[in-house]
Amino acid sequence: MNNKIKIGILSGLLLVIIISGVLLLKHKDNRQEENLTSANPTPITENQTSPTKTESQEPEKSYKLDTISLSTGKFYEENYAELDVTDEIKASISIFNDKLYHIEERQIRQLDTKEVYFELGSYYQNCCCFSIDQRGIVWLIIYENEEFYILGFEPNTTEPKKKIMLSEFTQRIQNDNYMYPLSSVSKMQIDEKYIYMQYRLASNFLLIFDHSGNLVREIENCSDFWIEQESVFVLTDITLSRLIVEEEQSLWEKTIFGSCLIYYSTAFDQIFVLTRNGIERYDKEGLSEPKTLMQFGTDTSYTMDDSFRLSDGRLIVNFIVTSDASIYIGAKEVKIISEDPFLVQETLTLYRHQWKEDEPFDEYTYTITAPYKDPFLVQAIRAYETRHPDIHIKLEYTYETREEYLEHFLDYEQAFSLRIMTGDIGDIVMWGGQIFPYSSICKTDAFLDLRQRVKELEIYEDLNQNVLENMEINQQLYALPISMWYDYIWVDEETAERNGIDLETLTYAKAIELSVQWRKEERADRIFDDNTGFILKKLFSTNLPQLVDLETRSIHLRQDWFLKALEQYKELLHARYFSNSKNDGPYLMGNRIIKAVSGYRDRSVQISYVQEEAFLKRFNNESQINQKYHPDLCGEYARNIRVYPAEVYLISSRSTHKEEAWDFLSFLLDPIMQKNSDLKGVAVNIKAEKELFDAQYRGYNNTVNEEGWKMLEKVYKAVDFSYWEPYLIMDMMTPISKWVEDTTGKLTLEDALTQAEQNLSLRLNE
Amino acid sequence: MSKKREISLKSYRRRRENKGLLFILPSLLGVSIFYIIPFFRSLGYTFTQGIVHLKFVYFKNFTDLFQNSAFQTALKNTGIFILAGVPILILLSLTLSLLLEKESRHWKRFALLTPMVIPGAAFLLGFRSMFDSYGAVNTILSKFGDFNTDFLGKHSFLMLILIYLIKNVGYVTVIFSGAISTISKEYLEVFRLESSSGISYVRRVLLPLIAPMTFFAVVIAIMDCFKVYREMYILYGDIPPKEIYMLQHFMNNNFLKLNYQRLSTAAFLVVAVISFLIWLLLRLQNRFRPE
Amino acid sequence: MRKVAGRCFTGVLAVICLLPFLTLFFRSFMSLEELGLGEFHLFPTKWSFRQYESILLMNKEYFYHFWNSVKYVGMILLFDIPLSMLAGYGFSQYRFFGRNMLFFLYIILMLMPFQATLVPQYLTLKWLNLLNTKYSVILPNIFHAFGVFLMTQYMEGIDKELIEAGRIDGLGDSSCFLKLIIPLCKPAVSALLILSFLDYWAMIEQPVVFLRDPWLTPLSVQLNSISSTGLLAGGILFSILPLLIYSYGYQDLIEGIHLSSLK
Repeated sequence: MNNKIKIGILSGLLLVIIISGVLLLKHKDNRQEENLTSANPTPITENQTSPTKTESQEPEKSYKLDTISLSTGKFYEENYAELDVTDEIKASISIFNDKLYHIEERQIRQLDTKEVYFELGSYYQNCCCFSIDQRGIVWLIIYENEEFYILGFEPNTTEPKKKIMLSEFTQRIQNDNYMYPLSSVSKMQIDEKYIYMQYRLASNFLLIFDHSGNLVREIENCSDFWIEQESVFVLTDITLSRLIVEEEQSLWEKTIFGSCLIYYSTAFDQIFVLTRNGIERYDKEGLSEPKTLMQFGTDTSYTMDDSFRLSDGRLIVNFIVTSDASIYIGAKEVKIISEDPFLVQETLTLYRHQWKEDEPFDEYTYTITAPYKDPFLVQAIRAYETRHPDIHIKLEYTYETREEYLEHFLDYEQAFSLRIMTGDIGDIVMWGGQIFPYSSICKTDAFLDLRQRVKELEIYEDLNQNVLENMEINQQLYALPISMWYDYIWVDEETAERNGIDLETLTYAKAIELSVQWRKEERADRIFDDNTGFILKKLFSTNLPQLVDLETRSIHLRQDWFLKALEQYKELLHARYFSNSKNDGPYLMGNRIIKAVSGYRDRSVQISYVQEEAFLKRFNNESQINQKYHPDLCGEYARNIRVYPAEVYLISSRSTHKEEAWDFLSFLLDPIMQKNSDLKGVAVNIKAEKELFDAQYRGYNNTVNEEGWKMLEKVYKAVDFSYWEPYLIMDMMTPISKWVEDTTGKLTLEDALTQAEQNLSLRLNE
Repeated sequence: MSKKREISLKSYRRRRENKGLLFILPSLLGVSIFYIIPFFRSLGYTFTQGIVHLKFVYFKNFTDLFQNSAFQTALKNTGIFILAGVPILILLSLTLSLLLEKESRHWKRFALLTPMVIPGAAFLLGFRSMFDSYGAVNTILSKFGDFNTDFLGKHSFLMLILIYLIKNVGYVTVIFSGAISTISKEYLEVFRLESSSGISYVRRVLLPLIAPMTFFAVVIAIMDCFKVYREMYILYGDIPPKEIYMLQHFMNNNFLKLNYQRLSTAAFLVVAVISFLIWLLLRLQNRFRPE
Repeated sequence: MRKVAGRCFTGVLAVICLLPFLTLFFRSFMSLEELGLGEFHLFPTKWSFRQYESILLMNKEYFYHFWNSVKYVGMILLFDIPLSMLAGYGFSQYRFFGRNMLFFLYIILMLMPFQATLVPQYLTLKWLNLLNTKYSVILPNIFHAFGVFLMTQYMEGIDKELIEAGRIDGLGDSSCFLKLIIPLCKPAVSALLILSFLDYWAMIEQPVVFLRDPWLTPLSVQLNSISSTGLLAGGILFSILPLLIYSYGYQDLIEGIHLSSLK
């Protein structure tokens, strides 16, 4: 009895702990959710609209870059305005009561109506920055007689209401030896307690003064800031933080890569961030995930690069959001009008973009099923829906991120096979990678044959036809690849030639044989340099059709050349012949001909090409080798180069919207999506790939471009199989690689081969 | 007059017997929805081919299956496994439950059940650390000389039996303990008066008394033979060494190849064979029932 | 002598069975670096609570899934046990029309491997709109033939004389059931409780296939993905509840019924 009671108490205790823990966490989640819903904006309908909005009924989405005619002082034609900002101060734009104000002809005017808000008059020469605060008071920073001070005016008055001496700031300018004091402050905001100024030195400083002109706080590296009722949002480098001036510790911090400008909107009570990719919106407390409102390249035709310049070279300086869900972006350009006398003209062009809040639709046109929430797919859907407003696509996914999917992909495969059989999938299915069971799918009729439709595409000429043709099994194409991963090699052509090797006809088996021979001769040069075991894998995959015949289901593993290659490989491996470092065996004295490069990499437009090319160049310089890209080596009887798709899309046979689905898939092959930075792997649209490549090398010597592209193109087009047979290769490789690595000698090749044959026969016959 | 009474007695009895239906009705309802109807539906699948457009192919699936070498291997292996594993498990558990009845040390009971309780992946971790190349057993063996054997590779069938036994012995022991404990002590006392042999007590008195539970234990043991697939999968992946390639591998791989029809055909055949076995056992059980 | 041999035998077997658990236990206290070493050693050289930390404190998912497991298994057992008792009584004490056939069918269904009935079961659940909800996992298991089978076999072993005695005393069928059978079934119910709990606590195939949202899945599914860091510690915590249930139920299990008390 005693025992029972004890155990009962223990178990009860355990349950109590668990339950309380869960309730606690659930409560925290609920609180987060509440914050999120309250932060969800409904645009304020009062205090509305500048006159132009009523005129232009449907503001167009600015995804077309309209031609710019550079005449100064042209206002609001369609989506933009242009201002002459040759004087620094004119580049600043202030917002009050949801209207934009700027300086034109010594007056502060409202941008839309040209109504004069304040006459600067004589103050104009010495005015270095202006700002309109929440109450409508105009503040000017004046630099006169080598002294800085701030004047505050009621609108349309001439006498200043308030004057604040900025002696400390004056001191600072003198200490820093700033050459042009009038352009020292790029932005100013003011509230009851403090004055915030962005001081443009080598790196921008945010200086916070109190109303007596004393410096209260200084923040370095501040690229932008915006004040809020009790706090201030500061963007330094890549960190957005919200802080209270008096407190040391910030309220919260977030890392946002590629961030450039911010804006805090009182109307929405949220903070907007302009980044290299687009515009995101965060809630004030910094709790939830950001919402993307606009994306460069998808929603607009212009993109932004690393140094925050638009694709035509202009620099972004302004970023404002008004309560009618309009975003204004100001881009500045410097034009040289004449050399002698040296005259420049600076223009500020304002772009306006409106975003629409996503309304959940009940009526989705069709559904896409994906294993995880792929950012590329999300952007593609957005871009497609923008261009076809009457189509709403639903994306259903199981896992949030790709990593989560990869952790559970076995479970997913099981569940998904069931769903295919019962028809519980969307109209379009996304899949991908090495594990995609393409051959099994080709034996069923669950998906549409896309072969004819692909050939009828207008852009078929631009696509990598080798990839598409070799994706077919038995003349049927069931999955449309949109990007591929390649395994290719870097080769040293000179050394190859010197040693009498023809890279076009070299096979892995022969390469191994030659290696053994060279080792005996103690040649300094080597063919391979492999510490990843890729040689074995390639030996199997390039010879797969000859080793296993899928038609007749027969296995021919015991071919002489193959067995010999295996034994030689084992010999070389154990002699550490393939090592490439000083610590791991005899170091490479001569040159190494082939280095394997794994094809898997996440594509980011800026990174992949430039980095790889740069790496190649640097490597070449350091080791004085001449390296080039080259497609994989051949198989023994046929080339048999295998690549595999990073992403494929299939259309379900049970779909009732086959044509619309196909339209979407063909949009995925469109250059705009194929150039997207979230696409993994190498695009199937070779023309788009080339355009990306050229964009990276803008400004480089043209011949380098051409040669580089020729090399890459050769690699991308050398395809014999666009799909992978993972299970067959693993079945063969597992026992044999165990044998290869075995040092005790207990495993014989015979054993390993028997095991491999058994595995294969089971697999083929199931 | 007596005939009337006879008839009314019979119908009374039948009505009384039919009352049993009422008792099983809730369970029957659920079972039909979730098991019986699906079973017959999957039976229907065995006569078709294709996923979206089903083609009726009569008995082609069956003939294909019989000629399939992978299926033959699987069938053979599964049969051997059941015929070898189940008797050993039953005997072992029966012995253990008898011995443990008088056991005062509680830890042993816990110990037996622990393999069942820990999650499969974790259990295999422990198992592997015993039989791996650097595992416990090999470390002990190497002290006696160079006897380092690759258990998991070469003797996979043995490993399988061991996993099956270790994992299930606790489970089946619980069944037998429950059964044995309800046998009145009076039987034992009465028997002791006549003979003092423990084994004949077991054979003559105990076994018949727990015959229904033994039958149950045998069925569960067979069921667990199929369940051990989970552990096999974690150890060897979807294609194990040929000697332990079982029906579940065959079925699971066909499932992943989207060949559902072959899967249900195989399952149906398995069920047919097993039902024959069960029918035999039921007969046996009836013979053992005490009068 | 026989007793000693018997004790030895059980002892050895118990140790063998205990080894996996012990390995798990000790390895759950090892730091991550030690786990990476290929060699086998049982005792950690440095005890570290890192794994437990990573589950209990840093990751709230473990609690969610644990709670899911408790919920599902609790609900299943709540309905499974009474239903099985009812059905067992019906099957064992009555010989109605079709009883043998039906019982035979039950056994066959129990033995059917899961993949065989998978597609139709999925379709049934879809038709009932239960997919991706917790009922898709709970309902089919409530009606699992296992409980009925156990109860039937157990009740068949009950002495018929007792029932007759009850009938003579004037008890009807339902009161017979309630007053006689249920008290007699305590060992069987404990056995069913323990065995079913073990079965359902470790269920993997059904949640994987019927539940799509990852946060609805029970702990057994999550622990099966070997790539999590707290796997071993998670395994230990996972096993606590079953062990508790076992020890709680075992008393009832071996408590025989003394017939003398009834007479």
